[in-house]
Amino acid sequence: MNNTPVALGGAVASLAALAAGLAGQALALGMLAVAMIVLLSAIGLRTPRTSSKSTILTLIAYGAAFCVLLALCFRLHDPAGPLTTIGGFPAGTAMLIYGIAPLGIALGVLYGLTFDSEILPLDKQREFLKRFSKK
Amino acid sequence: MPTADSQLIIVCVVVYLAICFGVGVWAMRRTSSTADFFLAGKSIGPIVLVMATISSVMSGFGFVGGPGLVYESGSSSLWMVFVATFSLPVAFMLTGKRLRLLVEVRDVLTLPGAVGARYGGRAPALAMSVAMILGVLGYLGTQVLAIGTVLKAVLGVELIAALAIGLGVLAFYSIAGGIVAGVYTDLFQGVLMLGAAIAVLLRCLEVGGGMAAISETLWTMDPEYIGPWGSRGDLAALSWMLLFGIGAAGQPHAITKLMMLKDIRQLKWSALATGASYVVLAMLWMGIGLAMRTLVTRGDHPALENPDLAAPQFLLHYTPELLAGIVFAGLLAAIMSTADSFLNLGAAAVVRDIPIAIRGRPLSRELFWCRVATGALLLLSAVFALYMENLIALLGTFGWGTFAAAIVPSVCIGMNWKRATGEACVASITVSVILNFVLEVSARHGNPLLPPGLAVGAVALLVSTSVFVLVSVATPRRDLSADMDALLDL
Repeated sequence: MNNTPVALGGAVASLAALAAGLAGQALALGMLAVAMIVLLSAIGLRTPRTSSKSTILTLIAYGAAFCVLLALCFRLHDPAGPLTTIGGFPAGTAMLIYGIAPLGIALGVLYGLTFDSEILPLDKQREFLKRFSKK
Repeated sequence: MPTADSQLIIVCVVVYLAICFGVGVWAMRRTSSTADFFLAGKSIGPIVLVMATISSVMSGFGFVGGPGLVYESGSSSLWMVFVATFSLPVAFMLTGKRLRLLVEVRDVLTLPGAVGARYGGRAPALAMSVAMILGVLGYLGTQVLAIGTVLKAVLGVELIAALAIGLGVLAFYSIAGGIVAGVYTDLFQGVLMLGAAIAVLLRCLEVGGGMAAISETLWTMDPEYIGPWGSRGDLAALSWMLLFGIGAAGQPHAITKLMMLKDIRQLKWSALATGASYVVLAMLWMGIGLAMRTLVTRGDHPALENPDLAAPQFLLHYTPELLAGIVFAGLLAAIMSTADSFLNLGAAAVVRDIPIAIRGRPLSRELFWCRVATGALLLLSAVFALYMENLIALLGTFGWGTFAAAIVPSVCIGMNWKRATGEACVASITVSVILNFVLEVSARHGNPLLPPGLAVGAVALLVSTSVFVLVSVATPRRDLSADMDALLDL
């Protein structure tokens, strides 16, 4: 499986995130961290012939939604203003508790839904073990 | 830590220790080979996998240090734990399928063994083994110290006596039953911790007058504290998100469990269950810290001398005795489950991985030496904990970051990318260890080399990932063996 473009993308994102961190640019660091999460997930999920476009699109949608929620954390936090709560938490903090954390569940669901069809089809597993199992 | 002074709490803790002892006796009968000792005979089911993973990742730090961090700096550390919903599924995506299948086709029982199989040659496996031992010693030392501190508080005995009792039980079940005892005590510990976390969160909300009232009190005290980034600021919070969100895939005590699964197809929904369960544990982390800070701010409780007292003070003063007893047992469970995982990983590195990397074969009478090494590591870490507390604190701090920076590139990316090379593996592991150590030591000596808030481990992870990819493309491509080639194509 040629994951070289994705790996190189990961290296570029790492270096950019490093530069953002050293420059004290928290929002850029956060967005680039999300990019790395998406790229690593793609590296883990991609397989020859079985990876569907919908899986990759789901990952991209996940990353986009994560970035929007991160931006909202910054946008909704106004320490000089009055307290606005969502579900008991200050609005900015609520984006983490009720947004980013539940959104992560999507990756677990994606893994479960694509396991039989893309991640490890049963016939491929059997073929691999038939050829190479040490038993 | 305050003393418990409660018969019920003591009973809960003693019952817990007795159950661990019993599991050790049961597991001893099921451990007859090194495959049993290190991989539980590849026999665990999905529920055991989920519970063993979350309880070993949520160490004593999660039950004491976590609430302490929230008490001290508000929302900042929530970015360490609420990312688990995606970080643990990402770990499954990157490592689950290939590590588990590798066990079927090669004589691989450990992570350095997997690295050796992936890259060939001896240097990558040796580099990984050395990184493992450094991380293991740090983690083990902090867990051992925590076991002594908790038992001293609960039983009201001297530290030496507390260590003797706690480590005696831990030594028995981890030496006799290896990882079989480890994962089945983890199952019990995980259930205990999940139940305790929910009950304590409800109690926290009750004591604080509900989440809205807690937020109002804390916002009045300091809007930054309860804002999304906490008192430590956005750079700290988001660098922790990066380190814990991606670095979870590099924690050996978590991903080694994936190699123990009986049926690989049970990975399917385990990723989701592991991430979701871990976040339930995070409720305790968040709830106690915020509730204690609210009580102190309102003047209902004296200020704490040390943030790490948040959890024990809350349990002793604001929860029913039985719940406090269960959570203290859960706290001990969290510490011991992490310790037994690291004992097993350390023993594997000493008895199996390093001998194979140096002389090409493991020790003879391997199971016997595994047990000896487990006992010796426990003794060594107890001596470190008692007499070299500063070294332990340093190693403990750099444990997560070192594992993340060493294992994410070489294992998580390397097991999914054919172009990755052994030279890149050695380079990234070396960079991760040196960078973590240098940055941590300089920060501790008042000469921080990084901007305030930026996590050392996050920097090391970013550098080692870049080094790994760039060295891989710069070094000659190596032909893979047929089985490895097919495995990476799956």
